[in-house]
Amino acid sequence: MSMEVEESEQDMLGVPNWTVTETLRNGWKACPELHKGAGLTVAFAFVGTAGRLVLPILLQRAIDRGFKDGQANVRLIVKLTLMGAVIIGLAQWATREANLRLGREGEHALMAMRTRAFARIHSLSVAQQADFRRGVLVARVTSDLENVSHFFEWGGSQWLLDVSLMIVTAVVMFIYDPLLAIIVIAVSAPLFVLLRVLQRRLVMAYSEVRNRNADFMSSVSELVAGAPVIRAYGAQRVRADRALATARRLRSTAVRAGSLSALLFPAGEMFSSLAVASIVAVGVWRGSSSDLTAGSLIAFIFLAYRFLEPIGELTEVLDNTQTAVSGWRRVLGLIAMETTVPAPLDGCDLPLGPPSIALKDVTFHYPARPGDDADNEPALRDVTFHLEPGSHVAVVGATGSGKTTLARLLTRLADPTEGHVLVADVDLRDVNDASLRHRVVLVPQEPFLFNTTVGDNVRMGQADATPEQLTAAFVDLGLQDWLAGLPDGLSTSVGERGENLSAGERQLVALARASVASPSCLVLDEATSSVDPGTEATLAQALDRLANGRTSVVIAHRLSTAARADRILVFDHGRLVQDGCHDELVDAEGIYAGLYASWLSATSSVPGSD
Amino acid sequence: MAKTESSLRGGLAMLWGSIRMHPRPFSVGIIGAAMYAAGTVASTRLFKWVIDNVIRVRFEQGSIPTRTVVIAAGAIILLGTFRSVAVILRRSFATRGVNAVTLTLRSRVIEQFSHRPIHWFDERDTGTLMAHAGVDTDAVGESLGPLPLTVGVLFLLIFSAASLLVTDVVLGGVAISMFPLLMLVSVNYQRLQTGPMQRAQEAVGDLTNIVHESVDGAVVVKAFGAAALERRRFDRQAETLRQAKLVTVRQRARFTALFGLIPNLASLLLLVVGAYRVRSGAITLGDVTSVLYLFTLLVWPLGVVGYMMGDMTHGYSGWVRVRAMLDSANPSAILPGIPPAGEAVSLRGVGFAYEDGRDVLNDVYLSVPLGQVIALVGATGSGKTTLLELLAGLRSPDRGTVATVGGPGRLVFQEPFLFAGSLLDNVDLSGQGSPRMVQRAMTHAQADEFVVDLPAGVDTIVGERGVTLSGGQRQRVALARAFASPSSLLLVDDATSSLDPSTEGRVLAALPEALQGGSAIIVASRPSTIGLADQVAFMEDGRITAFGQHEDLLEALPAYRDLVEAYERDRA
Repeated sequence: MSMEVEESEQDMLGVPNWTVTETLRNGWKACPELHKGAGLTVAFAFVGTAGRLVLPILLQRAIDRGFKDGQANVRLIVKLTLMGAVIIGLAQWATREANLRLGREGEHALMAMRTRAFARIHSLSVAQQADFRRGVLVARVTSDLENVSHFFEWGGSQWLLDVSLMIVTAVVMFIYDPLLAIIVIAVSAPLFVLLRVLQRRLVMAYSEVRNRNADFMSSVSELVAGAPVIRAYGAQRVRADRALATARRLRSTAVRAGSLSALLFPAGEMFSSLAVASIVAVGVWRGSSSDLTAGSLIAFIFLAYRFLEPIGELTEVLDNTQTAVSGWRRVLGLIAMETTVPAPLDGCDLPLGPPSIALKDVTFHYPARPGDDADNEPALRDVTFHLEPGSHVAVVGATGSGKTTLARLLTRLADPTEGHVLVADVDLRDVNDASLRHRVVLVPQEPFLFNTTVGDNVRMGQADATPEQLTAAFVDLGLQDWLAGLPDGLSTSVGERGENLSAGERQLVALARASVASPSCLVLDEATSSVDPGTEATLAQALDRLANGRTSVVIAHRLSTAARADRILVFDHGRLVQDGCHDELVDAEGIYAGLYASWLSATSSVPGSD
Repeated sequence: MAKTESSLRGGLAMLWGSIRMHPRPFSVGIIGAAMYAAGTVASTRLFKWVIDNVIRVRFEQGSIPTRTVVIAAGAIILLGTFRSVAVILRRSFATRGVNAVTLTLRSRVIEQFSHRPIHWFDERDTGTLMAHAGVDTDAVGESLGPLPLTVGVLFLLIFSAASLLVTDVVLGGVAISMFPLLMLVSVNYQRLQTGPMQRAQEAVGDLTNIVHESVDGAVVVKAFGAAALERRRFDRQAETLRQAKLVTVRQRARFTALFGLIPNLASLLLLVVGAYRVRSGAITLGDVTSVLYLFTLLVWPLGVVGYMMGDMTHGYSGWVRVRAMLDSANPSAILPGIPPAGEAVSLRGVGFAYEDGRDVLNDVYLSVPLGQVIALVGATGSGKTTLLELLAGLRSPDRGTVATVGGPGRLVFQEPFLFAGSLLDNVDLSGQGSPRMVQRAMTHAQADEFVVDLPAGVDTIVGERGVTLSGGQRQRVALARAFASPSSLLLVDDATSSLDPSTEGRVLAALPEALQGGSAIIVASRPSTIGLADQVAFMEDGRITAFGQHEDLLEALPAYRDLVEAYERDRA
């Protein structure tokens, strides 16, 4: 996926500011699945390195004993070779085991992380979820974790095998000849410093490439999604030029990163030749003083290659590694997030029957986001009211008056900053989640439908509902005709996000869903989108039937809905400013009368008359 | 098998097509690769010389001139430097070539996206189109990247084979016979991996869909306490993904082991054969060692060749998809005709269908006098939006003629679309408006009242799709966009319904001034909006069935009365 990691401030929400080491340490701690048998995996990797060291050692033996004075002792060489073959076979089996275990345990751990991250998403409060940009949460459990998965497939295996090889090779070199070993390590020391510097710049360069790629993709997506607007306003050239500019920027950052890695890759090669030249010079200078032989000197040249070879390979997996670390950091950050609406330790159940609802001195602040003004106004301020069991209440107010926040508090999608929300005289913070979701149901403004059948969408209200119960829910709401009019009845597919249905029909399904849940209290956030007048009337009727026998609170966007309620609460800038029935409020001076007047003039069919 | 061959040929065609686009960087890269191949083979010859003429001389005869040692060490470093420079040359120019080709492809894709008519977009899904700009071009780039390396490997194989045969026909022959074996293992692995990798990729796709839906519907999931249900659904798919991945893990582990086993065993075989040849006096110890050394150097490139062939078919399918889009014929631009004098809009027998046989518009006639505001009223699905799109020049009619005064009309869509960027850029979309015009348009659209509260005013950056603004604010920006762009015909597709009634009232009140004598067609459902129009056009099932005064239509047409009065009923 190239549409992945974007690094805007908002997208870094909940991502801890850890270094690579800290990420690895915390990741290790957070992921017990990785611990099991990790030692054995490393042991296999070490045994596996033998396969790559057999040749130099064998060569040394063969040269020093097998090829004496230009003659070859074939029998000895065959014997050595057979031994070597057995060792190589064992070593490759160990390598296979190491890779297998790494991949298997890696996938096992990823699965656990994925499950935890997904569970965490749903346990976050609605406000926390809304703080994330669309797609970022999805990326956490998909592409971010896929990047870690790619690491276990490629980079991780490379690191494990290569680092083991370097360690074992260094040990073998020391056993052969400590002086030459020290020379090889001393000559290659600057390489590690160089790599460290280049690696840091390379990581930055690649992250720049990803940012520019995100810019490019979003400018292209605007060309597609905005195609009608662009054509309707003759802006083809302007928009194309902007997209082309992002493509060019992407090209130049990609070339820069590529050139940097072109420098990095042959560094190992360069240092190998320095090391080999030093080995030859020093070895020849020392000659057969000490224990050095022609065979061990030649073997040393091979060993020096084995020691430095992995570096070239590791530079290839740097980007892969970095991407994995940043992916991991994101996922760990998400898993570590705490929900702002924690479940009570020993919650109580709500009583049966329509409950009373009360707010006591409730104030609610949305948490400040970076970039907000310091003094963000509370969404609700000192709100107190009491609703009788079974009453039907409408909440009215302009955009930003706190209506939707109220709906969230009543269904505990958020907790008040100050004060208490009481349902049946119990503070919602003390009610166990299962009971709360069963007794109090919210019909949100956007009646979200899943890409399945009408029946399955309704069944969300009650997982074990039979088809008869589902049909009954529609009949109860007076929607039997609508249901009968669907091509496949309950089995009608609603399409992605319910696109096969109209906006009004989606709301009908949402009401049926709420009906099947058979709550004792209903909180409905009325949809704002315009609906066909015919569907509008069906909806109003269904809503009345749904509210019947329950305590209901409707966040009303249409005053026609408000007019039908027993009682109306009017909100303005987070305060409860009016409270009464429709007729009282229309006659009283105040916000409601004003709203009603402009509603009347907007809906009267003959201008000026009523 | 036939498929592999044809895609191989296709892959070569892709390579050739790309090189022809940008020959210079690829040529330099290939020269670098050839230099590397030559340097590598030379270094094995040097290795042999060092063993036979320096190391063995020193250890068997006891002494060696310092000069020889200095030359040997110098030559090793020099050759190492040469090879490093060659690698840098190859890699940096390969990067340049790849990015030049992807930029060329992307630029062409952008031009297509900017100039295709909208029905072209209707016929394709967004994901596929985005893939043309993203993953498809990336795949082409990724498969072109190793091109100089591949050519370099070919050079290396040829040079090495020559060097091996020159050293010793028997030993060299045995070494060369290992080449195809290693390539075969690698190619075979590629082929084996394709299926499982695709399945893993599909599993990731399915998982992504589930998460997308679940996150989008998070509030519903929470409101109904359905999180456990969602977790089960997710876990099932995550397990499918894990199983798919485990298949690739097992294959990879086996291949890595096999690819370590074969060359190492082959080296041992070479050592034994070499021992026989040394005993028979055909070659020296230096020869055996240098053959072993060269063979070690060849293992990696041989593996890479197989890897690249797998990647090439991958890139080729991306190439085919992008080319298919780029090469399809460009349709001519849509230009509405000129209406008779005194008329702003003239529709004569207009018909339109999205799919054959299902007319959305049928035999539409309409004449709008200059300067009038028309309310277009009709039930959902009666063809109002399509009619406006024809008037805006976004679609051409299948039958009949569409004529609008002063070019296509300016359409305000039902769903406002905002671009990531400043508010000013969004209002002055074509970049040709004056600050004064923009300011006036913002005032008429009632957008200035919220813009003054924004930190940077009209220069405030709105997020992708305008997410930082509310729905009503976005709609007012879209209206300002229409007012700011000079046109004699304004088309508004139910764009004011998401505004609250008082804001809508002020926008409509400012309309005559914003129009500056131009005409407007407004899709309306609220009676107050209809009341503002000079005349009403009533649409039923893709036809305009009545045109006249609101009061007259109310009286004469029961269907019209029913529709408009549905709002009244709701109010009661």
